[in-house]
Amino acid sequence: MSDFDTNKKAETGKILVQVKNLTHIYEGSHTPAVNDVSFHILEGETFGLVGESGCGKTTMGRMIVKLLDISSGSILFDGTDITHISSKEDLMKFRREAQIIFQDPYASLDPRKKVGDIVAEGIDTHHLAASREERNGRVKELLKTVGLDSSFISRYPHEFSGGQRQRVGIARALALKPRFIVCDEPISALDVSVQAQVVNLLKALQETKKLTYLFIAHDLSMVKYISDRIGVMYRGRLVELAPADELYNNPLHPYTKSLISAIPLPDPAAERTRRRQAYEYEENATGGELREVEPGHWLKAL
Amino acid sequence: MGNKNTVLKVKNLALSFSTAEGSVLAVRDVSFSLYEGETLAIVGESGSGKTAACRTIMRLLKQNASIEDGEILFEGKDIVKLSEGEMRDIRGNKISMVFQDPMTSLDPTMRIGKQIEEALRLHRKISRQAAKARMLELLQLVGIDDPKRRCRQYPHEFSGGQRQRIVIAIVLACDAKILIADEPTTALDVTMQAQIIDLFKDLQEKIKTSIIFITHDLGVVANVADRVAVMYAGKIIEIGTADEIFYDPRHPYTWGLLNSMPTLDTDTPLLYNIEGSPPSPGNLPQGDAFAPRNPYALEVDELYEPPLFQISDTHYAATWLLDPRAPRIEFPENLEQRRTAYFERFGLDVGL
Repeated sequence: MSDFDTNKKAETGKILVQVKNLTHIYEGSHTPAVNDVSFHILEGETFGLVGESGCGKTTMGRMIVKLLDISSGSILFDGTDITHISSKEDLMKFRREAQIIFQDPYASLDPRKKVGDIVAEGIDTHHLAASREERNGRVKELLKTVGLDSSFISRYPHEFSGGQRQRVGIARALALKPRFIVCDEPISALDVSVQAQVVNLLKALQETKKLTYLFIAHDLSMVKYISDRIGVMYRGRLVELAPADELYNNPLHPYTKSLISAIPLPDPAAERTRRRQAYEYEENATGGELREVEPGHWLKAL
Repeated sequence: MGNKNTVLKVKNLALSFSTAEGSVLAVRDVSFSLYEGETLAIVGESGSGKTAACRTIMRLLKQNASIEDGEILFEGKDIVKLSEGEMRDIRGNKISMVFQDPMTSLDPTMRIGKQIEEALRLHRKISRQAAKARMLELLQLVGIDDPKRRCRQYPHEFSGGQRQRIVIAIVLACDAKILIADEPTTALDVTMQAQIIDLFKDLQEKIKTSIIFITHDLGVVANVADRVAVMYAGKIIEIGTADEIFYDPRHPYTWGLLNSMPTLDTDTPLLYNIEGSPPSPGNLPQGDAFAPRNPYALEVDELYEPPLFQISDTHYAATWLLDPRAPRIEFPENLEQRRTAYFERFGLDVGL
């Protein structure tokens, strides 16, 4: 249990992903889904992104792995500008570095494909295996890594539970040995008793494979548990960013305060006495520049 | 809670579904009472039977479902035996339901004010004018601002949280004795979820409805529930007051659920987790259905299902660990901390 240290994973301080003034406007919409957002993710850390649905956190994740166009701004991955890469060759190269795990394990796996073919997708596209045997060997290895039996290789997604499917999704993301994975609400569709299994798996994989995560979620207790630093989004803007403990102990933006005061706690005595803080939207509370108010603690000017 | 009036009594309910693999029992021998003015939370994972059990109370069953056994006593009648016509007088009138997706209960083509007025006029004889006045009151009560303007709008003009408020206004229009809420906040964001839960609590104080709150989220339960029933594989495996379930749980599955949720203070390298996943109703193991995932399972668990053992007037759990012949086991560490902190706070005796 204790053979790895959860805190301060990002010792190197090296920036892996740098997002600058990123904006996305969906076609036919006037308000940007993501509006002028800048932050960076350090190598080896888990960066949590929280906010209500429609705040732009999922759009942000998809832009970073180049599944969505960027309206303006830029993304640097390991120092290389990937904002405008669009050729198949460049995208394929980038996909070997950056992968994504989706929320709904029922919708994100092709029901007509065998689990082995789903996991091997990347290996096949990139011609990474010299023979059928080598390929299947790698797939079985991947299944084992995520805690699935290697016999699953020839079965179909519908034969599995939600937790097992999410493991298949994780195996698929790992197939190309990426350095960076966007986890887009990876546990919110799973049963409570299975959520902890998947979170433990993600943490163990991060340790053994030196992965960097962008963890997008709305379960604030889980985000606090898994993240090193957390960004709070509201209406397309990043309004606050701080180390996980600092954000929860010392929230500064009124929206963050309201969010944290609303977290349901499994403690009836605490619930009976709690006071929630409502947040009323104010235009000027989200529009200004991010300022560093404490070391590492950034706040949108109020 | 001993002297409270019982408004609903479910006795030995069993429900089966016919599937391609034959008939499977989705609800097995479920019994509970609902008291006047209380909120009973029913907690369980997918396939635990929580929704099926509650839909049976409304007699909103799928075509392949049939009630195999049991009684549901409400106002001196057995709901199981009522005709569809008699049931229509109860459903949506005396017993109402709020679903996870508010659009299940709303007509997208009708102004929301009209929908509430119709509910009012369907259930009692009042004038159009009185219905309108009451409709505006109800919208105000559930927290929709500017009801005079907003009652003329259609469901799509409201956010998810506001739609759920409108559904609750319709339920209130019916003056229901019992409200069954099936994951009413699951699709909502944390802040909206908190507001809807506050609304439920507020309304309950004002109108004294009894609420059955179905959810998979223990955090939400701690906030709304007076009592909690935990379901697993079609059965109630533990039931008690919210304090008993959260501070003195006795079933290893309840321990697992409580332990696997991180709190804001959790800093262990890994989370506690229950191995495996819940069984499907068609494929239950012999003996205790939880035994294959239970680190505390005894040999007897693989042969016989445990009965509900009584712990207090209000607290029961179905685990052989409570049999006098069972070996004494240590409580999981952080649950022990929970118990001690709680018992000390209230000056109670910690002894088991």
